[in-house]
Order: sequence, then structure tokens, then C-alpha cells
Amino acid sequence: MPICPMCKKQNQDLLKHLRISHDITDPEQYQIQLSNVEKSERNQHEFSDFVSQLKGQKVSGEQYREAVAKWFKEHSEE
Amino acid sequence: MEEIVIHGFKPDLPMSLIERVAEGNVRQSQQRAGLEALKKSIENFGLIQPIVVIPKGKLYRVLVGQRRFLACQSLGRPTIPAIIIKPMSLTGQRIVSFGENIQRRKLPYDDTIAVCDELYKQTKGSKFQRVEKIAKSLGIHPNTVAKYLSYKLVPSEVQEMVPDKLSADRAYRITTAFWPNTKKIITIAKYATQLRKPELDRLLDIGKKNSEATPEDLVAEAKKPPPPPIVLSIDRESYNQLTEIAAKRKMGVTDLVKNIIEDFLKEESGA
Repeated sequence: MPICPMCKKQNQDLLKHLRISHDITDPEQYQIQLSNVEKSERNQHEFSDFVSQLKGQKVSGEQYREAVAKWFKEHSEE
Repeated sequence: MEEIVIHGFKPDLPMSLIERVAEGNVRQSQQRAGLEALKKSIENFGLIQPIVVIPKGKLYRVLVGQRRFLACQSLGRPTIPAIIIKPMSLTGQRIVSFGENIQRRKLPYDDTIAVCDELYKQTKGSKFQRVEKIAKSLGIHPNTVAKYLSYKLVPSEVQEMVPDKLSADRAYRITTAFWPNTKKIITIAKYATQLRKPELDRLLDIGKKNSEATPEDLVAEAKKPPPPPIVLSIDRESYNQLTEIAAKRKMGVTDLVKNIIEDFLKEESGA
């Protein structure tokens, strides 16, 4: 059964799902929304890796907060 | 050729004065097909188009609009808007009735898509509530509304090919298989007009697995003789389980088994 690339749910009828659940009306809009979803997923993975690294470095609470704030600032400017 | 002479118009002809359907009415079968949807529409909006009746003594007989008449009767409406025409020969009645029925065309595919899309934009509520509301107001099933809404994703060049060159179902299946590659969808749709159903089925199956294949390669592959069919004998219980699952997924048992085999092969090949 096809899997929706945007919400990862299985759907018997992918087009119907895209139209109703994601309000997609044309391929261009689909590509834009899909690239936003992929970007958000990439960010989540990168943030997760970043946090794992920080935890491995055994930083203090203050340093952790500063590093996380810096990470968000850098990634929100992208 | 006998001419129709309009005798008058009654916006509220009592139903009790309509004796029955005229002998000349050509719709002799499937009068009740889709009657529930028509009833819902009349309930929501009233009867938009009057029926045509011919006088018979002090009563009237329905020449055109038998289903509208039956719907109003079933709804218990006391009156119905009607155009009254002067009596005519049986042959004349048949010609008028036939002309009315045969000339009526289904709403074109692209108009249907546009109407549903417009209503969807204007209707308020959650996505599913909107579909339900449109279905209720048009007197059709929510699944049909959802289907019409998703037809919007079929590229306009392919929409234009429906229904003369391509069926709506074929257009939709091609779009699903090659989404979101518009160029490929259009090219395959053009080829599909020359393919038989099993060839197109094979093309879509192959296309889903080989997204890099060109339309020309896909057509050539689809035109090759198919592999021999596999016949399976399974016990009744397994068959019943498969049927149940297929019904839940709104698909046929054969397609379900095909999916199971494809998933197994994917797993085996580590894809």
C-alpha cells in the first residue's frame, strides 16, 4: 500500500489522501509542501544528533541551554 | 413531424390530478435508479425543472420527468410544477420523450471537478465535514465527492482527454502511478489511448516499480506477452480472511494477493 511521503501514513488511494488530508491541488504545491516536510525532518534529525553530542560532552545546564539557543538561532536563519 | 403546443404552466399542479405516466414516455426501465439522490436534491433545493404533462380528460399524464414525478410522490409533495402541452399522437409523445432523454448529457468531467472544487473552497468546517456537507447538498455519497475532489490532481491536459479519448478511471490511475511527474503522466495518458486494459494494467504495475523507466520503455514492456498466470488453491478459511481484509481495504482479493506477493518480493530483495 502506498505511503504518504508527507505524513508517512499508509493509504490505499494516495491522490485522495493528498487532496483531502493535505489540501494539495497541483504537483507544484505538492513539491513545495514536500520539501518543507523534508526540511523539517532534516532539522529534527540534526537537532537530535546535536543533543546526543552535547550529552556526550557532559556540559553544564547553562552551557547546554546556550548551545541549544545558538543552534536554533543558526538554523532559523537558514 | 408533429409540433409541441404548450397549453400552459402550473407552478403547483396537484399531484392528485396526475393519473399516471403517459403511454408515450419511453423510460420504461430503471425509473427508480438514483431516485434517492434525486429525492435528497429535491428536499434540499426543491424541484428546479418542471415536468411535462398531457391532459387526459380532467386528469394529466406525465410525458417528461417521470423520475422527478416519482421522487415528489415518494416525498409526499402535494403539488409539482408542470408544463402542460396539448394532446398529441402516441408517436409524437414517444419522439418528444425520447428526445428529452437521449439529448440529456452527463455533466462533463472537467465541469464536475470544477463544481466540487469550488464548493469545497466555499464550505466551512474540517476537511471531512466539508466533504460530508457537499455530499449532503448534492445528494451523492461522500466517497464520490472525495473522488471528484481528487480528480483535481489529474493534469489539465489529461482532464481534457476525458471522456472521449480516455476514461476518468484510466486518467486517475495513470496520475496515481506517476504522481507528481506531470510530463510523464501526460505522455503515458497519450499512449494509453492505444493500449488495451491488460496492457495498461501491466504498464502501471511496471511503472510503479521502475520510476526511472521512460514512457516508451514502459509501453514496449507492457505490450510484451504477459507471464503465465498463477493459479492458487487455498482453504476456505484463508479465502474468507483475505476477502475480509480486501473489503476493509476497499480492494479486490486478486489485487490484495498481488500486493502481498509484491511486498514479500521487496522484503526478500532487501528493497
